[in-house]
Amino acid sequence: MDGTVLDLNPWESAALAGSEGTLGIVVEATLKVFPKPKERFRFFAFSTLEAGAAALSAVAAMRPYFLHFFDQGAIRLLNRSGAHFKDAAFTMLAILQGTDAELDLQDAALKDICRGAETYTEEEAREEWKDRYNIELKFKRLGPTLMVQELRLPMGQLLSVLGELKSLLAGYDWGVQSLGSDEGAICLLIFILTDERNPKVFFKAMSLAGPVPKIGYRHEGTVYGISLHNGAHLGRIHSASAVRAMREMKARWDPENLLNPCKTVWSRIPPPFVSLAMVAMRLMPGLTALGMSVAERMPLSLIRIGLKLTGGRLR
Amino acid sequence: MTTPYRPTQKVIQEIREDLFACASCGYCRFGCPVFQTAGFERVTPRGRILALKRAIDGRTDVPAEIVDSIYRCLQCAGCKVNCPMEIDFVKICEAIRGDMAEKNILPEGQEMLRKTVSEKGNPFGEPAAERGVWAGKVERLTPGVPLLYFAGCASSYASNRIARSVVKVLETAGIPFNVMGREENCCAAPLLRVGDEAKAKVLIDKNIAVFERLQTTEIVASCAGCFKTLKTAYPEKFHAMHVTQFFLKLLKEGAFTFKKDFPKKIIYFDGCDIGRHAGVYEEPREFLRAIPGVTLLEYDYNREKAICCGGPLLSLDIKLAAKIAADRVREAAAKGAEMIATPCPTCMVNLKSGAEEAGIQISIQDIPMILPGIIEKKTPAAP
Repeated sequence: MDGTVLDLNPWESAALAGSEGTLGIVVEATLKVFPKPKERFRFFAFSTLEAGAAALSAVAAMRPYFLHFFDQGAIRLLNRSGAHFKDAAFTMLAILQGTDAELDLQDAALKDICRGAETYTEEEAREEWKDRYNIELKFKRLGPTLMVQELRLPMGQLLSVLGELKSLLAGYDWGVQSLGSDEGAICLLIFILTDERNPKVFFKAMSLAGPVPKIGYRHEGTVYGISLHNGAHLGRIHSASAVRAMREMKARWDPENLLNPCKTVWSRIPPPFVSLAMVAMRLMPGLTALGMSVAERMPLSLIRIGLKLTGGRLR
Repeated sequence: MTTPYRPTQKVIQEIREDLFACASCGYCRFGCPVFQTAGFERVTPRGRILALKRAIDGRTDVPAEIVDSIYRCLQCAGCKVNCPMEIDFVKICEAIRGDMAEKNILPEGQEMLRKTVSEKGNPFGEPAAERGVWAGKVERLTPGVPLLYFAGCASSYASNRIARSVVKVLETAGIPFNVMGREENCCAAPLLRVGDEAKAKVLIDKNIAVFERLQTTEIVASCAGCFKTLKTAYPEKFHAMHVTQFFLKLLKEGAFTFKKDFPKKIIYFDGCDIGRHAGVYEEPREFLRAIPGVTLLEYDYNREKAICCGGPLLSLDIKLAAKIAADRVREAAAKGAEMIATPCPTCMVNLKSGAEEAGIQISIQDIPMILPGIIEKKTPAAP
């Protein structure tokens, strides 16, 4: 830092969020304060996935303040671990904001879209909302290993994707909830339970990190977020220039690539290698377990070479 | 010297489910003062769980550093309230410490503590004959008196003023009570922390024998650690109460009153043993609020979210304990407190070290110590 004072617009200043002082120090901020709008909570339960997905897509077009859904798999996983969510094929929670007149209009549209769904009171909707944020990860104990996959999809593809996931994940305990929606797209959080105590079962489940994103790609979607699984998909998530920019930032702030070496934008693991590993995990989970066990006993010098090849460094 | 350790099958069965339930989210760190002060992942429940998982797969021993870290756990349960999986790391810790105690492979300091408490009946290595010195004229062992004041080791040997203050309040209230004095033994909390249930039981049985002889039905403890142990490791028929609970009851019954104001800004420190482990949060606050002139302040993290002072580390790493306490003192000072009121002598002693470490002048008093100069027997209203 050389002490230069920059005047940033709201979009530029977003880059500072979460940087914890590494990029600069905020010396002055101008905030615009809005009056808190009125809110209404609406909650609907659908008897079929099709009806729920269609309603979700139509409601998302209204751009409500908040929109969330659970599929039946997620509801049942959560309820098995002590939650009390309404059991249905699909439940949807919407929070509306605005003036009384705006809320009345949104309400009327919502009622029209959700005709045929079971409708709950404002109080029940608020309870449901509160519980959705209290439940966290307790259902993980049912696994006890939880594998999470994240997909961002065009809203219109939701039903097809859920259909394909149903075939792929037959035999697993799994469920889906939304992480939010914007501009006609929806982010899915897919929970898959497995058991790391049994390497064969575990590696087979981990190999799903291959076909699940592929389902997303087939439906104009993508994975999102940074994780070990997503490193190989980086080129599909961001443009080449965006990846270059992120790598440049990472190289400046962490020149030795010590922080999360294989997990961030600097992963050099070639995608075909990742695909091969996924196939090996699916078809030969026992052999994969053996390979992992051998890798654990490798001398540090070999691990260092491996990490160097993939962009990391071990100290 | 700490050595590596391989858990037995019995322990593995006991802790396995919780270990694999860990989501490695790291929320436990927000409630862990050892991590907040030491800053290493290996002293967090998450770090310990990762190492334990490898060990129970039979792939490796638990490394000596992790064993040492397990003994550095304060068992304050601060991690549990932050854990989305509700993993009780205190139970994991107890199972491992118990296993190590059974195998006689305790770290040196813990072995010494076990020996001292089981042989001398107190953790300070003081002669049992001197335990009742503070009680002097007040040692009371009258069979048939249902109430017993259990002073505990800290108040019997080190912080005598606490014990004398409790006796003064009980005398002012005109309540008949017993004090065991020389016949009192450690409640066994340090042995339970070390993990030696068998040796703990010996001390518990000795105390129970005296309780039985005196026909005790109600026990009042001024130490939060004794209170928790009496409540959880002793038979329920000896109804255990913390002094603040009993004093509040006496105050409401009109057994004593306040003769003058105590104009101070007091912050109440939620000890872990009285709070998270015994669920007593409100009575100490209600009692402090009842003192005329007191303005009661709160820590940002209070009640079940309160952060431990580090007191349990006094027997293992006194410097780390003081550093942790220094943070609690700084937080209290930032709130504008003139006094930190504790429900436990260990918290009081350690917070005093913390004040020294932080270089902050603040009064730190155990709650009973506030009372002798400001209470009096309530005079019955004239007919």
